Amino acid sequence: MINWFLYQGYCNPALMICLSGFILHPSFSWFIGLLVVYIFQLIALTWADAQCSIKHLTEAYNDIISGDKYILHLIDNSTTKSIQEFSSIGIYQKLPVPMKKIIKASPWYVDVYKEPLRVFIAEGKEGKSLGEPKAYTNFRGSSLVFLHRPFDELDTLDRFFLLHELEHVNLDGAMQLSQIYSRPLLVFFNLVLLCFLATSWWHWVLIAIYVIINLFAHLQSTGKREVIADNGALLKLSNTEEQKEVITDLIDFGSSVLQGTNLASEWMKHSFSFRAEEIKEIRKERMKIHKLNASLPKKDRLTHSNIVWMDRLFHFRWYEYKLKEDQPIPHLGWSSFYDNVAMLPFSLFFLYIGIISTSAPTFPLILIVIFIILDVFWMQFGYMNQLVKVINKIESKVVKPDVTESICVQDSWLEN
Amino acid sequence: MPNMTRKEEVKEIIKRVWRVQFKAIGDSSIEQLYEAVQAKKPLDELLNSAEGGSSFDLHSTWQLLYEAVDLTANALALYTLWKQRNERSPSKKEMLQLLREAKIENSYSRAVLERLDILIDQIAKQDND
Repeated sequence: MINWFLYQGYCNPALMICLSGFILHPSFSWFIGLLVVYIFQLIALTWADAQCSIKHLTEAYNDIISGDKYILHLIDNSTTKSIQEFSSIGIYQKLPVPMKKIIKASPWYVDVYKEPLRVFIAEGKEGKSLGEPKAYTNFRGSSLVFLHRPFDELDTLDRFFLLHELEHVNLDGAMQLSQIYSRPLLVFFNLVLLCFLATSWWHWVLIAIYVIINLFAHLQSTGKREVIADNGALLKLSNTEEQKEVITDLIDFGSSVLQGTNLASEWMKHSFSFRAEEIKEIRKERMKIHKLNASLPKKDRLTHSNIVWMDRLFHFRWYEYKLKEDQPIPHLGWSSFYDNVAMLPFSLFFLYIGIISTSAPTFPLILIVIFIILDVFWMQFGYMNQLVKVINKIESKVVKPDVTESICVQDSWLEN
Repeated sequence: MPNMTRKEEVKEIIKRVWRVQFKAIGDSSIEQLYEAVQAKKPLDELLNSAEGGSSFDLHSTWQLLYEAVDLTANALALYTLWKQRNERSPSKKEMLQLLREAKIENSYSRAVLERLDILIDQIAKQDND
C-alpha cells in the first residue's frame, strides 16, 4: 500500500493532486478534475498500447514476416500455452471476467485476445539467418517471438535467451513498455497542470527537477528493461546450478562485447577487483562510469549499447556474488521500494499542491478534455483500424499452411 | 591435427577459445562463418537485418566470431607454413612475432586480439593432440 502510494504519487501527479484536492476541498470542479484526469490516464495508456503495438507489429512484419526471407515454423498450441503459463503472458486473460466484458464492449476491442503469444522458429533462406531471437510486443493481440534455432537444439544458455525474450512480452514487460510509451504524454500534461498550480519559487524548482528526473529515467528505461528481463529469465531457470552456469557464461559474453572499446576495457580491468556485494555498490560504479564517459571526447564515448551491457554485467556480477554466498538471486522490479522512497519528496509535494489549491485548474483540464476527444476520434478511426490491418496482414502470412508448418515440441524444455 | 579438415580445425579452436560465444550462435553458424570468411563475403550477407523489437544483442557476437574465425584461419595457415619450412612447431614467441609481421593488429578489433594468447596456445595444443 505504501509502495503503491509512493509510486502513484510520483507517476501520476495530476491524479494525486485532484484526489487530495477533492478530499480536502470537496467541490464539483475537483470531482470533474478527478474524473477527467482518470479518464485521461486510461486514454493515454490505451493510446500508448496502440502506438507500441502498431510499431512492433509493423517492425515484425517488415523484419521477418514479409518478403521471402524465412520459413516460419509455428510452435504448437499446447507448448505455447505452457510457455504462456510459465512466463505469465497474456494481460487480458488475467483480468477478472466482468472487466473482460467491459473491454469486449469497448469500441477498441479487437477479437484476437485468445492467443496472447505465438512462438515461431525462423528458418533462414538462401544461407541467411535471423542471428538472434526477437520479441515483438502486442497489447491488442498475439505478441510474437521468433527463435533463430529449433527448440530441440536449445541448451541452458539458449533457454535463457528465450526466457529473456519472453520477459519482454509478458505481463510485466508489456506494462513497462506501455509506461515508456505513455510517459512523454503524461509528463507533458502533468507539467501543464503543475505550472498552473505553482505559487512559489521552490515549487518551480521541484517541478524542474521532476521533469529532469523523468527525462533521465526515460533515457535509461531501455537498459533497465534489459536488466529486468535478464533478472526474470534467470529466476525462471530450474535451479541454482543452472543459474550459476548461465551467469558465468553471461559474464564472459558481456566481457567480450565490451572488450572492443577503450573505456569499457579499462573498466573491465578495474571491475575484476570490484566486489559487487550490494546494489548500492552497483549504483556507485555506474555513476563513476557515466561521469568518466561524459568527460571523454565524443568520438571515444561509449555507445548506448555498451552502457546497457555494462549495466547488465554489473548485475550479473552481483547475482554471481549472491549465489556464491548461498543467497537467492534478488527479484528486480520496474519500480523498486528503494526507487519509490527516493521519490517520496515528489509524492509529498504533489499532495501538498492538492492541499493548498482550493479549486481545480480549469485551463489544463480543458486541454486534457480536448486531447481525450481528439484521441478517442483518432483511436476509433485511425490507430485501431491501422492496428487491425497490421494484425490481419500478419495473420494472412503466418496461418496459411503453405507458409507455416506447425511443429510439435516436448514440454520438457521448461523442466530441464 | 590428423584427419581434420581446416574447417573442422577452426571450429574446434573457436569452440575452445570462444566457448560461450560458440554456444550462443551454434555449431552450424561457425561453419557458415568459415565459408563466408573464405569466400570473403561480408557478415551482412549471412544475417538478415532485423532492427525492430527486442533482442538479446547477439549481433555483436556474430561480428566478434566473424573476425575470430578469420584470425584463427590465418593463424593456422601461418602456423602450418612455418612448421613446414622449419620442420618443427613454432614457439609462442615465434608465433606472436609471425602474427605481428603479418600486421594483424590493424586488421582485427581489440576484443578479438584480447584472446590472441589463448588462441596460439590452443593451436599448439591441437597440433600436439
